Amino acid sequence: MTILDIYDALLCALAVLVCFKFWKRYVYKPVVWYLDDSESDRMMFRMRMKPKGCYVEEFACPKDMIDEYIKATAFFRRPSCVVVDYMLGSGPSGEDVLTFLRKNGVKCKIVTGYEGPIKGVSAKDIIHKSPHDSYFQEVESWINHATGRA
Amino acid sequence: MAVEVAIVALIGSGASLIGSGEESKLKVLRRGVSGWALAFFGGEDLAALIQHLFSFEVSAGVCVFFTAYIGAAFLDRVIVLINAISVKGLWGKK
Repeated sequence: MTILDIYDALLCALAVLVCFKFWKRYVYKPVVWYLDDSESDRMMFRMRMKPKGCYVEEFACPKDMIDEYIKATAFFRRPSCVVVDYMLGSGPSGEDVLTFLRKNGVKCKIVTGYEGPIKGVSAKDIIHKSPHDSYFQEVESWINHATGRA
Repeated sequence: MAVEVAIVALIGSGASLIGSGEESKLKVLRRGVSGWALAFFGGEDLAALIQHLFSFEVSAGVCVFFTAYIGAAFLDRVIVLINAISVKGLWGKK
């Protein structure tokens, strides 16, 4: 390898930087996942949430989500952020999902209608569900911030 | 020369870290070091392999750069996949 190869690499780095900026700005559409076992809550999310320039995918149970996560990882289509309900019926809880996603570098927020104490999840990671606009605005603003579209 | 390879590998691993500002420092370091090591030890061999297989010459610098840039992301994906598959097994039992 000679000094000229370093110039080649620098040119490549420049080209990659330009392509990355262009792709991020004009082509890339972030994917947002919503995991909730309640059909009505998923429907409300679908109707009320309008995150800027994002694809939204919904899941009813964590097992479906993890299957999709494996496929998405293999095809470089991982979600930018995930909104998870805390109470997911039987099986893994929202906390388990949060821990797994955080460990793998995916931004995650818990939403819940449960008013009691929630152990193992920091208060700043929780948004309390309500039928009011403020709840949807808070979730939407977090999604926009997490996907860099704020 | 090893110094040039090390410099180009450093450029490639640095470029692969763009956009990982919010990830933990340990993860960023792991990705940077693995990308650099892959490129330093395997980048030039990859250039030779491409030349041997496809009969055209690729700049060793470009090859080392892309090994560092893509290799780290690829390794990262493999680790995430292994984590996800092990978690799937755990959640299946719950």
